[in-house]
Amino acid sequence: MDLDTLVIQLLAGLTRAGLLFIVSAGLSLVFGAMRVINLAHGSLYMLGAFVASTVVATIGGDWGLFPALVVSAAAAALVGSVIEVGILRRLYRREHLLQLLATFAIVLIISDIVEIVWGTANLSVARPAVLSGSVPILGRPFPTYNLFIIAAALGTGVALTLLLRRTGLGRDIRAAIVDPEMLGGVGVDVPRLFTVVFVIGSALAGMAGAIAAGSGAVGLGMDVEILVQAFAVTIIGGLGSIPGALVGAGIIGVADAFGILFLPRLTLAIIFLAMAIVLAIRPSGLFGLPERT
Amino acid sequence: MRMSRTELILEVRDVSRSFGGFAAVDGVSFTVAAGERRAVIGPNGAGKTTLFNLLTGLLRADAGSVLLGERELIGLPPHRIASAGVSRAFQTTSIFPRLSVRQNVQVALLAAAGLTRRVWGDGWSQKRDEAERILEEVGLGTNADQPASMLSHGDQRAIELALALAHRPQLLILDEPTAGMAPAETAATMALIRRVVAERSMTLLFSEHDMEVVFGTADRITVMHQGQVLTEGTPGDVRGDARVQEVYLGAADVAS
Amino acid sequence: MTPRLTLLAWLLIAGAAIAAPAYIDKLGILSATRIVILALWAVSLNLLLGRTGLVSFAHAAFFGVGAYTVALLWLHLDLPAVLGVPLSVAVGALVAFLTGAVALRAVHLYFSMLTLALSQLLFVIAFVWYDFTQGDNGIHGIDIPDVLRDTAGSYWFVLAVGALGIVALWLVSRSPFGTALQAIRENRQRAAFIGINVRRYELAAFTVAGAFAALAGSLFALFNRSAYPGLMDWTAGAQPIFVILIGGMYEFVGPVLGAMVYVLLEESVTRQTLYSNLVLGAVFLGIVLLRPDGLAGLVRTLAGRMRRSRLAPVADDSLEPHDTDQLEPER
Repeated sequence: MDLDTLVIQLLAGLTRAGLLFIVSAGLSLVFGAMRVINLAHGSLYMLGAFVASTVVATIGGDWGLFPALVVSAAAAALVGSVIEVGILRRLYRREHLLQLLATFAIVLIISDIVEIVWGTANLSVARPAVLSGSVPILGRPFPTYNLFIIAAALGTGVALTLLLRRTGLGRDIRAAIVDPEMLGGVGVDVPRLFTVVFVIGSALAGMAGAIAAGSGAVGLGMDVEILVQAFAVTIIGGLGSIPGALVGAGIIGVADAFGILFLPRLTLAIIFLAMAIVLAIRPSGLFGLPERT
Repeated sequence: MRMSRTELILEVRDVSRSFGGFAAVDGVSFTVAAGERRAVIGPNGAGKTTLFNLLTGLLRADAGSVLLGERELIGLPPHRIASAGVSRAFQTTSIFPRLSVRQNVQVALLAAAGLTRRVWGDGWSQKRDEAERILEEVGLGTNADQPASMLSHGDQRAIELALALAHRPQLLILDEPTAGMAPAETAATMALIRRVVAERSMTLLFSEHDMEVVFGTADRITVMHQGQVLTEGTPGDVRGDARVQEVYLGAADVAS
Repeated sequence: MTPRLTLLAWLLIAGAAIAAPAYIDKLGILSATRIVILALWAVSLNLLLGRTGLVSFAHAAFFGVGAYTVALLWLHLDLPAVLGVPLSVAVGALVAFLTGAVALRAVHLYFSMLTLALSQLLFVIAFVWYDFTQGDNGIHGIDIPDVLRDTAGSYWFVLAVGALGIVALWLVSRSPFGTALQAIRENRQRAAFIGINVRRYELAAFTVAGAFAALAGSLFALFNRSAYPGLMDWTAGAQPIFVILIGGMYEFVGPVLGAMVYVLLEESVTRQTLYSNLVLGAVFLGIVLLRPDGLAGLVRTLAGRMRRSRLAPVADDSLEPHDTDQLEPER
């Protein structure tokens, strides 16, 4: 394989990684700060994609995707806040399993609601004109939209890092990730913090869904499809770690891109194998903190 | 029933453990004679809990050796150390909350007798009487059927003690047994511990912040400071030691 | 209830179950068969979940392994599929042992994620290894003896094997080994300090549970005459978990009750609406929020209240499952 193909595949992998990163960053924050396995994260992603399809269809394809990003994020954030305040909050003092099951029940509910509202057919979403077409890279055409995805991912990464390192909220979140039990003791309003984190995570999922909508078909089953990969990224990168999510997404995204080229049927297996290996050897992930027994 | 008590000692030799460059326990050595009641004291951060974690297998020592009689304890996992004759009660009460008080002790007895390997028979019908005897011994005879989580803090500490006794240990290690207790409760708890230790001819190793407790129960005291042994001696020796007073300056020697 | 009364009650139930084809119609017997398979599967998972406190997502994979044992035996070796039933126990035990040996290197959330990853690996293998497993198509039309082609006949076979499996799990669960598992569930660290080799016991429980999940899967393959990768997908593993939730995880018989309710509920819901996910999801959510100790827990609470109402009123001690990860004595 020549250098050109290598670079193009790498970029394709980074595109996938970019999308995965935005989804996984939200999941990782929730996972890390709240110790909640939010199975409904994929559902919020799917919801964002479908909402985006409606927004674009209403406003018009020429630039409709841009407001769609905001609307999808907001819609997902709203649903997320309802989930956190109405359901998860009642379960924090209970077994982790119950939180998990509640989020799974929500997956079922949201998947049917999406089907009721939008039907079962796959929908396609028009890209903004400015992002359509391609850009020549090393003599080959590379979709402009993909560059947009990579840029969006980098932007999200920067924004999140600034949030975590430069704001009071970010400091509280980092404290929650390191030692959840100490939080109340140092005067943090824990319920409010959890709600904020969950809403941020949900918004990220929704926005990612909108971005994905511009990239390809929107359909039922998007929720589960993205979920396992997002978990793989979060596990490999480490709970609550943004750099970790970046690295994890990079690994999975690129492995996906190259795997499809060489071992198409085994790509999925490789991802799970990677996940299993990381968990077995260094459960806290590449960048996470060691879990106390 | 067991080998001569005079042969049994705990020998801690040059035990060390660091956490990322910080030496929590640094070359600690001491010996405890059979039947002795030894207190380990020191201000917060002196390394007492880390030391106890090393002795009971919760943490692995970086260096050193711990001999129980002839047997090396370093490197043994917690469940092996338990069967070697060392029992530990924790600073934060650590019991089996949804099991009844009796069941707590029963399962400890079943494990001690090696019966938990059996996949036949009715588990909860076994060791009932023996469990009840131990509960009587620690003063919990009347609450046997209650879920352990429903008991008061003090009673839960008693369950902890009962669990520790189930293995008929030679050495009982107690990490701050009276932490968080009011004075009356403290006195009662220590009286119970002294009685049980005497009746069973056990060796006692405990850490404490409450100096009255220490002076009232210990035969000898080991003072730790910044991960090392500062000094060791009888209560009288330690009370009068200037270095000990200096180390405690500012950290008042009152009950926690 | 005295032991004699309990025995009588169980004999009556057994009698009713065996005689079912006499008074229940064909569709009902098919449902009953489904219930027994699901009950066995859920009871095996509850050995991990309710007894040991291990949240495993791998149980669908083991179920699938059992189904494939039957299917592959027939497909490749031309042997009677029924032989797959006892064999599935051994195969399931082996696969579960290997999976558990890796998965149990981690604890809590990470353990659960590991079981997810490992079982998805198995799913992908079933999906991708076309020559061996027929891949996505699955294996269909498995040849079964005539006696099993009859609705009642297959029901009795499943009932017999299922009951044997559940009884075996009951014996394990109530044994001294089972008490050690409960100690591990309540306080993993403390269990080690009373002399239990926690990892080894967890692995033993994991292996046994996997073996019986495979047994349930083998019955499924005979009953449905097929095996396919979808059985092993982790989302399929939600089924036994919800069954346990409905029936109650802290009582042995809980998952059996749960299986009955779940199958009947699911069948009636899918008959009445296209949007079964919505309805079922809402029901499950309700249970999680309101009655997490399930039916069996409800019965126990009510029985306890009835008993106590005859004595002096005492504080309600219905055991709310609380966070076992950290013990706070001052709660």
